[in-house]
Amino acid sequence: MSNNYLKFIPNGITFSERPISALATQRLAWKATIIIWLIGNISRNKSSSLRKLSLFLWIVQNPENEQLINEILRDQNRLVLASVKFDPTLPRTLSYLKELKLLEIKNSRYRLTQPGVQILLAVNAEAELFKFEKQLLASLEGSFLTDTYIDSLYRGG
Amino acid sequence: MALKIRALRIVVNAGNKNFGAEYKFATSGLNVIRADNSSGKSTIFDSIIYALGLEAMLGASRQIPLKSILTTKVPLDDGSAVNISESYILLEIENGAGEIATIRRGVVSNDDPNLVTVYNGHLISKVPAPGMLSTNYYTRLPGSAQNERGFHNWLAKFINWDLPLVPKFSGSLTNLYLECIMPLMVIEQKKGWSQLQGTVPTQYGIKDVRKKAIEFAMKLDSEKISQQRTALNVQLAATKLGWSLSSEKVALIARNVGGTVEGIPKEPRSNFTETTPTAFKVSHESGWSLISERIEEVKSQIQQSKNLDTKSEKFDEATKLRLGNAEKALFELESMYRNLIAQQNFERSEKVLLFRRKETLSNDIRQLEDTHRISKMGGNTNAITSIDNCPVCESHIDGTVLSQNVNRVVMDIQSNVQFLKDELKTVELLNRHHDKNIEANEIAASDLAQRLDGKRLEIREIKESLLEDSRIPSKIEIIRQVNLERELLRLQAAVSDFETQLEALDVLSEQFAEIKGKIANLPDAYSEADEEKINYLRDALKENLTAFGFKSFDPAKIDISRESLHPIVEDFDWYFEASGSDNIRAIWAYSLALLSVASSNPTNHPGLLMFDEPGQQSSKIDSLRAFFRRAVVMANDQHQIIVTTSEKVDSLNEFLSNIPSTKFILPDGEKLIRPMRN
Repeated sequence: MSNNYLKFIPNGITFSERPISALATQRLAWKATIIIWLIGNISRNKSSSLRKLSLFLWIVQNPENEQLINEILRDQNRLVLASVKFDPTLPRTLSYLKELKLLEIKNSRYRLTQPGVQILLAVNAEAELFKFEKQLLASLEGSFLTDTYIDSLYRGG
Repeated sequence: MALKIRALRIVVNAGNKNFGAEYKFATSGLNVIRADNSSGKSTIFDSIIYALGLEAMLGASRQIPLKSILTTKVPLDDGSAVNISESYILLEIENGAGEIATIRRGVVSNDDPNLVTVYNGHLISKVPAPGMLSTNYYTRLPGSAQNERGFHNWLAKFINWDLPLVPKFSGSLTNLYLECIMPLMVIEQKKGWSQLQGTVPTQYGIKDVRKKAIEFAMKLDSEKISQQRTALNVQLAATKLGWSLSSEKVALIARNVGGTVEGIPKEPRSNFTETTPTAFKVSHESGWSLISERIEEVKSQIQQSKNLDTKSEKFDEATKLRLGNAEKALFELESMYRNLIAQQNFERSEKVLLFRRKETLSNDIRQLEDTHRISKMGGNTNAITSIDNCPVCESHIDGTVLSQNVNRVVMDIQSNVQFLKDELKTVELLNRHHDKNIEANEIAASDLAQRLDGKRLEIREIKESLLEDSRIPSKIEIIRQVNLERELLRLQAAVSDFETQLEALDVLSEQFAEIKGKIANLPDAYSEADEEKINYLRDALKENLTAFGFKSFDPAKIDISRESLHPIVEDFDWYFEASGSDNIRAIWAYSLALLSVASSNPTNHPGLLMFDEPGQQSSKIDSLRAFFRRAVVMANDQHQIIVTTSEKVDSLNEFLSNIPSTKFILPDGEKLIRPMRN
């Protein structure tokens, strides 16, 4: 069957591309800033292992994950740990940050450089920024989400 | 309550050279900046306005309202020009408590132009103290007058101004913005001389904005009266809330007897019970009736039942048919009930899904708003927010961490926030739709459940009565009577509860009328203290006008309008009648008169007046001399007056001879913005 019916549309059909929606978690500005803020706040010496960073990034990306992490903490539930997702865009964002000289890698740990620390201080000073994330992290403070504990969770023993 | 300008520094970096200007002002008395036309006086003046975040006075445009010498190019003596790489303004200010702060606002800068940095001390007049604290604020963004990090919120606190809430044309309330008040004190050249308060922005939609600004500046009690009005409006809102709670109770009472109430308005209404008929209807087997009619019907059925000489059923054809019909009806009712429950479960599960979606959307919006904040932060975060190319492979990136292979355009952050907010609205709309369905289903289910019970009982009784002795009264009839009596009691209790709620609604209706009456009766007039201040203003105005050689009307005939607080002659606004130069004199006279009210009455005037080129419209030399001399008297060692002028050096020296003032007199042909030492 031929496509002759198209001749009935005098001006043809035009498809116009509309801009697509991209969530904050998919935007470099948000992701890079939260990574810097996490590295600066989840450990004392402003450095973090990839595993720990990945776990915390997962926690703050979606409020529902807060419940899951509490289950992990309460029951040491490794089954729930299976639902922790590794963010595939994390390595790329870390590469960007490394090239921008905002962080460096030392002994397999991501450590903030001086310009990175400046951004961390600016974020901490902005009361309105990462309000929810700051509360969430404060509620987890004192929990036993240490490097050793996280490693043991992932190892399964 | 004061705002004084201590010092101004303009810094322009262009072609590896520093240009700029620096002035240290006397914080009381008259300060005069004299230079030729086009030598940068208005740039100095507008820079102060810009540093104070008051550029809405200069127009509604979002563009930076400063001349090209601060925004694009600096002209050089040889006729060429160099591009500006960076420019900013520092403004050192002082308040009534003697506290000093320095404001830094970028013009050509990597930072967001809405970012204002406030240093907790002096940066210009003296060497800055080591370890001085600074805080970033934002201006010209929604919330900058109210939020903790809003620059005008900070500035109002610094001046010790408690900004009043004022009504908008839309009916909501808003803070009286600083941009609306300051045109009384800062008269700029382009629009400031067009009329009194010529630069008050109107885009905020504040009702009677000019009058509100004068009321505030003079601290009139009429401002309190309007606050009383606001308090009454809050009471009105509480009454409306009470009304909606009582209406909900009425709906619940009706639902419990499988009914509904018509005629209760959503908002309170004066004389509600007298003017608004309500109808309480209940459903039953044969349809819907008014509850009063249903009560009568039930009563009559009870009576009929009592009068009947009913004996137990016999197993005849009529009874079989009756039993069959009842069982068929029961089956239909059960089927309807099951469908309804399924429908209700569906509605509830949809609500759960919508709730989750709402949570997710709210979180996504919050995170995007954070992203917007990050992109506006400036400073070191620019390293992240302004990269166009991948720092690793140099390929173009669109600000996302999505796969870069797809050919697509990503929404900008604000459009994306709006996009998600629109979705959130749709979700909320659907949620309300499900709520309505759930409510309607509950009424229907409650009605069906009652009818099912009744039908099951009827079947059981028919079956039982077939086994009974036919000589004794029928048990089915006895139970029917009991049920009817129960229904009667339920209906009567509902009517009683309904009437209680109607009384409550009646009380709320009376309260509503009373508050409405109070609002209508609030005095528009001014208090005695207000009248004194207004008369003081009038007298000072007359005195000033006489001194300035005002000729269009006899100054003795001038009064202050109680409607607008502007000057009037025989109840008419004089503006269109007076000559151009007299209108300029009137603006001098009114601005100085407001300052003199502040000298002897409690007001909110910050004790600062700024005039950009008051010698407009070729004002006569005598008038201008009188203006300068009067300004010194009004400043009276407590207030600060800053004037820019292009009067000839000789005439200015003559005006100001023997009068104390701080002068910056630039010889003809020289520019105010000039190369500075690096």
